[in-house]
Amino acid sequence: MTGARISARGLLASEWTKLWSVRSLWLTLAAAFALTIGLCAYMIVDGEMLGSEEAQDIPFGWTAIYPVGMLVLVVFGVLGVTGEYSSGSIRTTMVAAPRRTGVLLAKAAVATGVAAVLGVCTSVLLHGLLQLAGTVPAARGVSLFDPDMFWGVLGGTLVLPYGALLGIVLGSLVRNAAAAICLYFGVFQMGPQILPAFLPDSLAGVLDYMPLAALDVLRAGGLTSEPYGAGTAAFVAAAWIGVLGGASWWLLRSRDV
Amino acid sequence: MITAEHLTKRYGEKRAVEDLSFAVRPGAVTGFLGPNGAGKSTTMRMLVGLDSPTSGRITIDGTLYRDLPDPLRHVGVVLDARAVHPGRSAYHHLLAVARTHGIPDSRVAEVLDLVGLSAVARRRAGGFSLGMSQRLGVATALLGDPQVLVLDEPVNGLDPDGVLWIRRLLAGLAREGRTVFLSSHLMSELSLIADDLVVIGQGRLLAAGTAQEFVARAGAGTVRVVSPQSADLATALQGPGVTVTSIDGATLEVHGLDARDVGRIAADHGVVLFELLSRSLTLEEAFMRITRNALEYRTPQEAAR
Ligand SMILES: Nc1ncnc2c1ncn2[C@@H]1O[C@H](COP(=O)(O)OP(=O)(O)O)[C@@H](O)[C@H]1O
Ligand SMILES: [Mg+2]
Repeated sequence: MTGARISARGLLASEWTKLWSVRSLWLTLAAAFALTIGLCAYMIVDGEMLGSEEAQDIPFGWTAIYPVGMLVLVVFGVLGVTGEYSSGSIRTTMVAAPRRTGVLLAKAAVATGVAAVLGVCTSVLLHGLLQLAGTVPAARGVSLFDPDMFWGVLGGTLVLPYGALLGIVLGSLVRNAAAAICLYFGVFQMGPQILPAFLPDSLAGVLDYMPLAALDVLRAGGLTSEPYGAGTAAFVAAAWIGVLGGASWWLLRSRDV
Repeated sequence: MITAEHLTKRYGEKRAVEDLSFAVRPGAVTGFLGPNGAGKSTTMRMLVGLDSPTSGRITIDGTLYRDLPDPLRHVGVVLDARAVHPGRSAYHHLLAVARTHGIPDSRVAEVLDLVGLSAVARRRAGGFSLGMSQRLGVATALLGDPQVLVLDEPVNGLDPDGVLWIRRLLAGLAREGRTVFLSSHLMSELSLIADDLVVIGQGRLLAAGTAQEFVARAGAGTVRVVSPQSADLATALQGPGVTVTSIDGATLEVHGLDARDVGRIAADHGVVLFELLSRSLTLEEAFMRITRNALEYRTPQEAAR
């Protein structure tokens, strides 16, 4: 055991072990991808909606379903953190890694990384299925790396790990599953629909800078630059993680466990 | 060596620990004693960095726990038996902790064996009894083979088997020359095993030192004397600071005089003695006396609680 000490690799390995050793956690993860793949596959094979008049020109139309998977991945990220607080195992975690920052980073990296890898596999799989089914005229014979396909698929795929990461950040911010999920639904999911009723018109534009609005721009794969371009969208999405993540990091460092 | 220096913790207005200074000697078993709410758990949480002190500090060999590059190899803690995710098996719980430090997987099997949980290692910890959870907590603490072990009320709520197991384990660890720092609100739990004592009340230090010093500090013991003329002797012994209690027709218990005084007074008064026995305070009595003295300095309001 000589030489045993805390390391980034160790913290990542620890979080990896934690993820796969609690059934409810990996089941949530599996459910997110099963749901995404299932719904998308149905739409692709069915072809009615994706091949319809309005949608048939968009080769990556199936990724419109990805936000459903993202929702479940937010819950997955939240549970990954709040499960530690509700069970008290956070004390074991913090005693093993008392500087705390590394734990948050490792947790975020593992959840985001796993969701990203599974997200890429999902997209590759569904792209292949689309080629086989041939139900969308605009997508026939279009390779995954064709710019018409690539950017839309990339933007769509990104929302999956983004959801997991947002879940981790919100979970560490409020430390309670119900509160974090309500926060997500209330502010990020429903907020943009409800708030305009309460905001003066001059401020309504602010809602374009909510994370889901930015993700919508990214998912469009360059087909639209309303209300801003993909570069700005990527910045807005990252800034939300930066600010919320920074706040949860600061709380983690300063609050008692 | 664990050293607390002017350690203070406030939760809002509530003072959980107040200007607490003490040292825990390496290689000894130190009992951390105080009534419920005295601040024992808070002190231990600050030791491992779970709570930050409002002021002062508590260190391990001069270093904050948080600054150790390999904390599990220095200090093992059992603060709360329920610090495990109920959906995770004992094995994976230990594995996740071991991996943070790059402790080999083989050590996980070793500590499981050591605490007798190997047979249930793959079962979800949520189904564990308190005794099993306590064992898992001990296994977690031993992962890094640390020189110092810190246990918060380790026998609280355990059945007699569990208590016996913990006692044997602690005795074994102490024999190996490890530092053991364990808290309790009951002196009877500590009197058999502790070499040293740190006693706190209301977050403040009441006494610290070896068990013998502690008894001596609490004051004189009692003298038991048996005499056919016990009534005469009782009258003769009266004096300032002396209390004489009659146990039965012939036996007296005397506080405030030592056996020599009693013998001499008896001789002076021509009293026949059958038996003269001096007994020092038990640790338990000493603890009661010291905490009672501390109570007298409180406001009447506090004392009434
Ligand atoms: N997180 C907390 N918030 C507020 N008060 C606390 C907290 N933790 C402990 N206390 C208070 O601090 C005092 C000391 O508690 P504790 O350290 O648990 O005592 P002990 O372990 O000796 O029984 C108690 O009065 C308790 O109510
Ligand atoms: Mg306590």
